[in-house]
Amino acid sequence: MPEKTDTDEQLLELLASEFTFERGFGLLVAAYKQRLYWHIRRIVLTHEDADDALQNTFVKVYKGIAHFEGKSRLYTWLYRIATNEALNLVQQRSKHHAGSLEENDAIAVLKADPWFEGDETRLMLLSAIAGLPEKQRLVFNLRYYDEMPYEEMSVMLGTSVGALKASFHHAVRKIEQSIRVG
Amino acid sequence: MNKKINQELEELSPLLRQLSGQGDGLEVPYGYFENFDDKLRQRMTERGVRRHALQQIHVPVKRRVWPGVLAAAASLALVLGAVRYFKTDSDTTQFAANDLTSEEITAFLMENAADFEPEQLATLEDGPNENKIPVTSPNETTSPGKDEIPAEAVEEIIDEMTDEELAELL
Repeated sequence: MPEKTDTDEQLLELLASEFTFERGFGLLVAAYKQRLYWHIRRIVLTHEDADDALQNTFVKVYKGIAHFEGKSRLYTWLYRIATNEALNLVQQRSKHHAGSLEENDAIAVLKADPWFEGDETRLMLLSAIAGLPEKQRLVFNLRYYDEMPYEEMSVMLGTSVGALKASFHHAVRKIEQSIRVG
Repeated sequence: MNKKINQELEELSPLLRQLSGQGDGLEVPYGYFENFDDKLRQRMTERGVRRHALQQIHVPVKRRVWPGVLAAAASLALVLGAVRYFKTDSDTTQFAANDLTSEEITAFLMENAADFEPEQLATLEDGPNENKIPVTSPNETTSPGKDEIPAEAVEEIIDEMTDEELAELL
């Protein structure tokens, strides 16, 4: 996972001035759009929803960057906004659980998405991930797809490394079981 | 995939480790990321999005706070130094001098003769301990006769002074 500290500082310098704000915001979008998109997409599953949530995320960043306190890394702050946007969308679609889809719902959603081109195994994998409790799903995605070290994740999610490992292990076992049964 | 994570997955679920390198089937339309910025600007314009004032933006600690901390520390050191300097001049010397022997005071006077008026050098205290000399302020009144330096002491001081030092004093 690349460290963004120097880039973040440069971005924040640009965003701190009226004269360079727009340029700084453009660079921020360019720097983080893909990473945030994939984070959102793995929560909401469809491209259309991911695109919507990503745009809303950057609108909120644009409006609220003045409130960024610099206590965490910029990506952590962006990640939280993006996560909230994604979970709000999922919640609107979820009938039973706040913040997560039922596996069957997830399968239906993925099958309807023209931008899903995976086979049956991928369909089972993504729907199993979608069926996890919110925290386990976030931890699994950060570890499995973003390859984030537990230490960094601990800072980002405000959870101990031990608890994160336990979450990841539970998530892996549940997903494997779900794929094998399905 | 990261070696550590690969190993962790291998232990937990060889199936998931195997699937990890093969993509998840999620795709994006061609040119989506290239066109995203324009699409975002369009949405912001349509919604009339306005940002908050910029005064509150916090740039990371490394760049902005340290110079402030250093400036504060330097100011504090300057103030403490000044307090110590003035305190030393006005109070401390006077009290500490009571504990000095005449040899020590003579040596001090020799080194700093230019800083004293001749009449200041000509004061000594009578008392049980004749080796101790009180340091009085230039404006302090003294009883005639009581604070006069014995002739021997003056001679001793003068003997030890160089011609240049004497000329400077006179």
